Amino acid sequence: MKTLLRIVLVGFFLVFFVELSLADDYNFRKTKWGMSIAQVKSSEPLDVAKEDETLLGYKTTVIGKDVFVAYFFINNQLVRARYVLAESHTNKNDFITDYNDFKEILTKKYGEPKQDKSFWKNDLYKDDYSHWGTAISMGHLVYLSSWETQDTEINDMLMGENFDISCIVEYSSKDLKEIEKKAQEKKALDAF
Amino acid sequence: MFNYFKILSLTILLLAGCSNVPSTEEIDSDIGLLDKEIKEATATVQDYSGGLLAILANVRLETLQSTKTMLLQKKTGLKRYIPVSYSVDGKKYSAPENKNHLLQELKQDIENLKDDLVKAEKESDQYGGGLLGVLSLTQVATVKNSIAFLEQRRLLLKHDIPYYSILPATSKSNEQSFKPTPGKDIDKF
Repeated sequence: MKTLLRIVLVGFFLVFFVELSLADDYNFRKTKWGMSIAQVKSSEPLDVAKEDETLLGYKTTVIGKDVFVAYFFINNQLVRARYVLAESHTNKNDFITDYNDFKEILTKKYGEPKQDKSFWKNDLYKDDYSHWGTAISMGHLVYLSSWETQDTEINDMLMGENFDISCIVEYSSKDLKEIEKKAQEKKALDAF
Repeated sequence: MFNYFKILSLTILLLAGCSNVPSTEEIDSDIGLLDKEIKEATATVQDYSGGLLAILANVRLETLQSTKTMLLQKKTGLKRYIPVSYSVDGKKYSAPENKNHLLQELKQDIENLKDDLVKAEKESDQYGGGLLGVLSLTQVATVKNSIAFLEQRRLLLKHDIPYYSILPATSKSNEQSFKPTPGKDIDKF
């Protein structure tokens, strides 16, 4: 009886530690860099919203916000992934709150950001906080915070153009950076 | 009896002829200013065959042209006694209560941007070419675009035309909605 109890306990701890180590290995949601499109698809419980040979897109909610999830592939290897905020606000300053909410959860998970900055490209609205959202939408103000793990670079970004604002949390593989760079260079050259 | 009828008809015609014709003087003057800017923007577009500067110049030109089109529509309506009204999401558009204050704010913002433009153009003149020259030209084009956007907002507000912004299309029944996935939020980051 004692032996049986021991086996059950050892089995339980084994399963627990294997689960724990697997959970820590993920780079973004339930995926790891280098996974194939099929592997990423099987990791997501959601229905695919968009798919081609370089992209897999989903719609979901995180921290109570509607977001698009985008996985980017080069040669059928996962190299980059993003959350793109899909909310709209009448008061554009609310996007700053969204950006800060993402920053808060990322800080909770990865610690203080390596970089936490806002850049004013045009000072027109700098002295008027009520117009900072407008400043972002016009490309005058950009927010950026970043983190780094052993395999991944993480950026939380808030930027805009032509009165549209994008709030993006982006994850990219450090090891597969070169592959991505080469593919981008090839694409640029093919355009000529 | 016939003479009475004649007099009555003439009186009606006379009164109708003396009614107030809505003035298009202000709208004409604004269209005139836009025409000048469109001419300048068209010349800038022709200067570039492609690249970022061409895109920025085209954005400015399209913004100015769409502003002019909206004003022309309003002007034609006024001239032909056709009241042009606008509905946004099924509700009739009416100018905001603080219209004059908003106009003043927009005017001030445009003035500030024009100061920025002078500075940017001065800086750009220092460079004959090269990367710094291109970057300073990009800065000039960006400020010019900002002015065109704000001018569009100001003119539409001034002439009681709603400002339309492009919003994402409403979801269709067959489109997927945003669903949460199981698990803690922190594990999804």
